[in-house]
Amino acid sequence: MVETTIDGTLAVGEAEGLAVRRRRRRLGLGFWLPVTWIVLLMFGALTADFWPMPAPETIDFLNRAAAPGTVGEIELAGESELSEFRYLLGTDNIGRDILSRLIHGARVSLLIGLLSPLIGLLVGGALGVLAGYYRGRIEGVVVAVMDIILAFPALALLLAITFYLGPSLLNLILALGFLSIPASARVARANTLSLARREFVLAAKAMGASDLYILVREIVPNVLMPLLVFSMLLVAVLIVAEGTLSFLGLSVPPPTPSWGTMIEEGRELLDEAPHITMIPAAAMCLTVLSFNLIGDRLRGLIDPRESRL
Amino acid sequence: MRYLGRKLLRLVLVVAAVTTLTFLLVALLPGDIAYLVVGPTATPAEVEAVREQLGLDRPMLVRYAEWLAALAQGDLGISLRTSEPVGEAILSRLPVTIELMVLAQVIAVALAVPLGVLCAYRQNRWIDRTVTLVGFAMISVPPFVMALVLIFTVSLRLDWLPATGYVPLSEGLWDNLRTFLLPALSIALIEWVTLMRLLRNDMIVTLQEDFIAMARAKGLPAWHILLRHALRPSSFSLITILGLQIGALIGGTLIIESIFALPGIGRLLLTGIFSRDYVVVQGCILFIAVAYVLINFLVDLTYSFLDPRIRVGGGHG
Repeated sequence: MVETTIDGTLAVGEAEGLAVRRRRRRLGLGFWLPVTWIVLLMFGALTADFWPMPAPETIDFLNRAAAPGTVGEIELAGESELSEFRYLLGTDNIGRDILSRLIHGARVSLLIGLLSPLIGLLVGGALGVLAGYYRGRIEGVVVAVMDIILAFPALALLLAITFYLGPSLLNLILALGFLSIPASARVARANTLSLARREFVLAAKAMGASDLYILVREIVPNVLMPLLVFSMLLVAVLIVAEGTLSFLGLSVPPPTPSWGTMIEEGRELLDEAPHITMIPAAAMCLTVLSFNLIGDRLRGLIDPRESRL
Repeated sequence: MRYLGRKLLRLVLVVAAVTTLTFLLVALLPGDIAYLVVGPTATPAEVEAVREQLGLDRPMLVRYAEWLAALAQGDLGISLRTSEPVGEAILSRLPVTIELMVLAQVIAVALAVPLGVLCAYRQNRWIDRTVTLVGFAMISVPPFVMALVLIFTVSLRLDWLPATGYVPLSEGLWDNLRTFLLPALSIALIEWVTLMRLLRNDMIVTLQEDFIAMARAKGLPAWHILLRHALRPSSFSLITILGLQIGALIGGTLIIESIFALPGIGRLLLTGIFSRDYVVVQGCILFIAVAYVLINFLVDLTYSFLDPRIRVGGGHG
């Protein structure tokens, strides 16, 4: 970021300065590659059931922990007869197709990674905007409650919630969504605080606009973008959190494949067949990296000072 | 003094809220705890016995008061599985967790400071870009994946360090450190990125100050300017984050302890979860949360003594 400002101020001609600005605005490969990966992943997760590959639970007893590229006989999803099939990514320690489990497992990561921040965005965003706009007692209560939630170490609280509620997809989405409320509320409040003093809000007030009108038409549209960008980074955090839980066996129960579970299952054969662990691990890292990169790039767009971590 | 009073009041409130929440987590548990504890095969008499042992037959407020009273004496209850007092169990495992956290922080700082200084000095050159890129990739690796990658490469393929097992400090420092190195690295290799970026960005600002230009004009060597003149004024936010991260690390050590079979608090908590020993779970979570709050409080306090501006400003929050 410093580079562009320095280049920008040092630039001699007007045209050169413009070129620098345009370069800054272009999103570049570092944005579009991650987007491509996420889109592919979503497409795979949505259409997982229709691919000519074995179901994630189907077991090939003859090909356990088979290396990527091994050919075996297995019944494909929706068929009852055995047919020849090449395990592109190999099989896991009990003989299930890793590619199929990977694609189906993406559903859990994406569902949790995308729905939980949405809860944080809606509830936390609303609380933050109200606190930042009305100030006074509302703000005091909201800030205090958020501080208390943040006072718990997140992973310990998450473990407690899943321990007491029991592991299921819905509980996980709710628990992680709950945990993402305080941070979103802070972002929303901070942005509202500075927006509420801006001229266009004062102008609307002077024209006699109601609070509701100002909130909906003036404040929320402007808070939404920073909040969305923040949520993008939150997605990365929550995918890791879900992965951690499923690695510990505290996420979605077994027959449903999830990346964390796959990574854990490969552990006993880590030496002999590292691909069982490393393939889902790589998928998870790539996905987290993608959301980080997208969020970082978008943040750089709205606030050039804050870009890069 | 007013600042301290306000901070103390907040601390008391948060600790009270934390204890109440931890209690409620168990008290509001859906279903009958006694059933959960004894399992589905128990006879009604056994369930009744457990219920009595836990005092579940009495009203919630009474149980809360008793629990608080016991807590005030440092009594966190007795494990349902091992009959070990939970308070003692936690204290006996505390050194392991602390050692892991300290070692992880030391490694992270050892990586972050030289690289941060180097990147600030060579801002936007290839070395800066490479380190930034590597950092971005590493911060996207979940800690448990980092742990498995380290186990795979360092222990299984290179056979340099043991993958699991714990040797207490009493059996020699080197043997003890060997068992802690990989777990600490799994945390540090992710943690250093945040520290490095902070230091780099603050240092870039410092390097534009007049006294640096002055030092340069005097012809002082680059390393001298960087380390003796620029490092100290640039490391303020690094130190703050370092303190705050100690709190965050308590959560992070959980999974690392369980992967490397280190007998720390995290593993105690996880064992409690898997054996449905809710007294242990409650005790661990309470301990971790209170420790977290206290550490953050102390960091806040030290920081405000170091920088008087904070005591005056920053009224709310």
